[in-house]
Order: sequence, then structure tokens, then C-alpha cells
Amino acid sequence: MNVVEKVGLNRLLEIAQAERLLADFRKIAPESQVALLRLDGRLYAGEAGLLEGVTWETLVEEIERLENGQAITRAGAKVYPLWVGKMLVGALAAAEPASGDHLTFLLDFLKYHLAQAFEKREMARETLDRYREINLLYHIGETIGACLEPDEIPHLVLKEAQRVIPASVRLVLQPPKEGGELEIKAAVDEVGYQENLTRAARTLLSQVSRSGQPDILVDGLLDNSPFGSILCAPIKARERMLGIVLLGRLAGQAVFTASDEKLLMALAGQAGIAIEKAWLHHQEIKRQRMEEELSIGRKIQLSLLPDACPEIPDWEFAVAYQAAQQVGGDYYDYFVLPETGNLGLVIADVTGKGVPAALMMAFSRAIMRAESLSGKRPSAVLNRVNRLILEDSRSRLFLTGLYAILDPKTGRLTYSNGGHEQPMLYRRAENKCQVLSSRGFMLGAFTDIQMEEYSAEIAPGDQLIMFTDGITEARNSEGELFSDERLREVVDAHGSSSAAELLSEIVRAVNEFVGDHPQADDFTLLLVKRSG
Amino acid sequence: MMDTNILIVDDEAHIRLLIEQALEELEDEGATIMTAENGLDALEMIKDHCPALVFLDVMMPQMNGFDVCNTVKNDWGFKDIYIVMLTAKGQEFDKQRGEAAGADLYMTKPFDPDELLQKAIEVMRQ
Repeated sequence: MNVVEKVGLNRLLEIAQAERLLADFRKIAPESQVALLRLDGRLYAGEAGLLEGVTWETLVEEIERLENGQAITRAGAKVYPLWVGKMLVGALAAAEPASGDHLTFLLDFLKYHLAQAFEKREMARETLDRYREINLLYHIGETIGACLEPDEIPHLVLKEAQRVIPASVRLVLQPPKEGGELEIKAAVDEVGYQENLTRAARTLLSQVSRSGQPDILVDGLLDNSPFGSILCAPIKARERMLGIVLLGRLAGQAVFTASDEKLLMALAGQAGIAIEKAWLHHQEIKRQRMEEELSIGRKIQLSLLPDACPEIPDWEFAVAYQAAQQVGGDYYDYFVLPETGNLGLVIADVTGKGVPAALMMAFSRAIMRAESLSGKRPSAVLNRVNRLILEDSRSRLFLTGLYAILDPKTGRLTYSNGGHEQPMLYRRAENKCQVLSSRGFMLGAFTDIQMEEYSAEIAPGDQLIMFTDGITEARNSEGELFSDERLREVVDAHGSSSAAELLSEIVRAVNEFVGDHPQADDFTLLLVKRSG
Repeated sequence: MMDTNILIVDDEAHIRLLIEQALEELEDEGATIMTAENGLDALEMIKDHCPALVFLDVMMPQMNGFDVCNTVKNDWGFKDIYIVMLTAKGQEFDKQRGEAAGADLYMTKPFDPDELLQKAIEVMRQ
């Protein structure tokens, strides 16, 4: 730890140089006795024995009051103070007969030399500070800059700060992530005064937090505080306050300087960047982990969808499914119903997107399957599904769903609609598409609802189109909807094609319409054609 | 640490001054810091003052640092003098030559003032 510094002769004039100077003086004034004395009265160069018996402490007090060139006489010798600016650096003692012009010349020369040496020393000190700054930044780059643990950085900051700005108590304070009062995140307390420091710096801390500028407190904290100076610098990243570095030096130790403040700012600036970088790194890892989890979720979700279309003579099936995010809320299903051998068809859309919708989809698929396979009629299945969702789901998500039973032998379709898009039926006989009118409540939203049940005949050549709103509500860059009309137009134009061909025509038309506009919603398209 | 001598040898005045400045707090503990601006002067001062620690520049006119070090350590047998060779950044320090000359350590300029001081304190304490 530095102490309050006094610059002495030894810092400004080498002993050998001083001895040479006095030897030269004696050449021109051979009878004279001269000596250079340090601030503590010890002989620095020249004659020993001058001022013998003189009490140095009182002498210093007296010569401190003298101007340059003035002297007081003690023990037969004149004592001249040696000043550099306002700083006493030593004294020259000269015993009679050393006097007159020669002595004046010696004093002038010393004065000039000491002033020059002092100036050089100050420049060297300044340069050393720059060296320290460069070295600090270099070290920070290697330590703090390479640290990816946000909680580790405050400790590194204190370690690096101690290398260049030693202090008895060192703290890094940061606000909690959720906001609020500053908390100590790293502390080094060599003297047991940590609490005194935070108490003494309370006003300074709030001032630095507000202004975002560093500050030094020297005066006004001496009462009841063991600290002589406090240095405080904000840790910022892009003008956002991330914390504060607080250093305290005890009374009697060197006070913090503007240069210390500058160094600490350089350190705090790098720390801010490092903390932000570490946070971003953590967020990126979290994001990657979430992506991985979503990717697993997507695989699970896809495994819940039928892996192949049913194969029933005289019937064609085609499906397109695309989630807007990794996982989605749309789903479709088909299964052969026991006993009758009829085919159950489901298409549904959970409100919302992403993970919550996907979980709801898995839940509703399970109960829809369980209820359907028990052989209930479509309306009974949807009534029951509605009740089960209301009872079991606290997620406040709803779904729209259409459940249909197809008798492949007769082409009879019985269906019930829980608030879903009304399906369309392409009639080959009319070469035109009609909407299969069907209404019903959204599932999971209302208690005690009774679903309606509808039926339709699918004749050979006819084609049933079931879809989610991701098709008809797909938007282009102008914000226009693809709409039921556009879907109908495509079906009218290509309804006589195979199920697979019509499917690809609809998907192509939607994609063309949407263009580069990102897909906002999941979409599902399920086509059933009676081919023979 | 009282009465130990430290010698700084460099042909560049500002480097001498900087090292002197970096080590100044040792003066408070009684160490005397001396400087020399070439190898020949350095040898003379080492002979006269027997410093405990020498910071020695490698590249100097007349007599380079390796030769000074070799003379002190091998010819004169002053093995106890701790010699730190100073080499400029970008110059590849010839470690083999330094070792053969008996150098105890080498540091690269621009040096870290605190590291320099720390090293000096360590040597002084030994």
C-alpha cells in the first residue's frame, strides 16, 4: 500500500551525482564545508558532522518557513531549504566560510537541477500510468474478457483492480436481475470495514448509479469513518447500469487520484462488456437447449400423427401438415373403428401455438381417440371430449375439432363439428365444390353443450376437403387472407384430380399466394376421395 | 532490504527513467537505484557497488547485455547477482544464449511496471 508520498533528494539527485557536484564546488571554494541533507536530517552527500547536536525536527519547522535563498544559522552553519515548487525536498548546510557568489551559484544550480529532475520524474510517472493502463487492458482481455460466467466477473474485476489500484476494501455491487437495491456480488475486505465502506459511500453510490459517471470522495467522510478516500465507478454496457465497483483506502493512505479513476473506468468498461457478453452467451446456450428440446418435442408430436394414410379399396387419402413453429397445435387422425370397420377421421386445431398448444394437442388427441374407439356417435364423442377438457385442463386453451365417421362401403359420412372450419365436398356430378354446412361450439370453452350431428353422401368421384384455418387464413405480404373463396376456386378447378394432385394444387396455391411472408399459423389439409 | 543496490542498464534514457520510477518505492526501504547507459559503465558499477539486482538491456552498442552478463556471472563468478535481461517485444530472445550467459530471468519491453516491481521485491527479500 502506498503511503502519502514525500519526494526526497534521493528521488531527484543520485548520490554519486551529488558528491560530484559538491566536489566541484569545493574546487572553487576549497575552504568551504557543504552537505546535502535529507528530509529526515540524515546526511545525503558532502561533509559529515555539520549541524552536529542540532535537533532536526525543530530545524525543519523553521526552514519550512523560509523562502528560496534565505537561510538560518545553526551550529556555525547556514541551513538553506531546498524547494521544488511548494515541496521541501531536503536542505543544504554550508559552514563558514562558504558564502557569497559561489554558494548562490550552487543553490541556483541545485534549484534548477531538482526542478528539472522533478519534471522528468512526473513525466515518467505519467508514462508509467499509461503503461499500467495498457497492461491492465491486456490482462483484462485475457481474464475478464475470456470469462463466460457472469457471476465470476465481479471477482475478477476486484483481482485486476488490486493489481493497479490497491485498496483495503474492494466491492462490486450489482442490482438483482429482477431489479431493486444494489447487492454485494464480490468483496475483498482486508481490514474488516466492509460495512463502514458501504455506509460511508451510500450517497456516492446513488449518485454514481444516477449519473453513470465515476467519482472520488475524499472530504466529508472522515467523521466516524476509517476511510480517507473512496473511489466508485459504474459498470455499464451500452449505457445500461450493470453494477458498481467501490474501492476504499483508509485514512493516512494515499488518496485516490484522477489517474486511478481513469484506470478503474477502463476496467469497469471492459467488465460491463464482459458481463453482457457472458449473459448473451448464457441466453444463447438456453436458446440452443430450448431448440433441442423443441426438436425432440416435434419428433414426439409427429409420432402422434398417423404415419401412413389408410389403404381402403376405392378410396384415396392425402394429407399435408405443417407447423408454424417447431411444434404446433394442429393435428389430424384416422383410425378404423372396431366392430363396424368404419373409418374415424379427426381434424383439430388448438388455440395458440408452440409448446402449450402442442401439449394440449397431445392431450385432446388421446381423449378423442379413446372416446371414438369406444364406438360412440360423433356428437356424443365431441360432447364427452368437451367435458373432459373442461374438467382436466387448467391451461385455458381451447380447440376446434371435426370428427367424422366414414362408411367406406356406402360413402356415408356422419360428422359433428366443434367450432371447426366447415369441410368442403367436391361433387363430381356438378363439377363444383359445396360447403358441408355444420355448426358447433368450440371444445373446452363451454359447459353442458350438445353438439349437432350432420351427414352427407360421398359419391364416386367426389372429394372431401377438411382443413384448419392455417389454410384459409394464410396471409400474403399485403395482409390479405387466402380465404374460403380462393380455396373453393382451386377445388373447383382441380376437384376431379386425384387426392394427391388436388392436395399439391391447394398447397401450391397457398404458397404462391403467401409468397415470402412467413407462415404465421400451423396448417393441416386432409383429403378423402372416393375414386370408385 | 536496507543498503541493497539495484542497477538499471539501458542505452535508452527513457527506459532507465521508467524502470527507476517503477522501482521508486524500494528507495523508501533503503535500496539505492543506480543507472548505467552502456555495458562498459555497467561492468564498472557492478564491480564498485556489487548490486543485488541488475536489469540489463540486451541490445546495446559497444557491449551487449549477453556479454555483460557473461562477464559478471562466468568470468567474475558473481553468481549471487540476480540478472534480469530486458528484451524488446518482437525481438526473439535467444534463450540459449541468455542461459549460457547465466541470466536469471528475461522480461519483454514494454514491461509491466508492477511485475517488474514485484520481481525486484522478491529478489531483494531473498
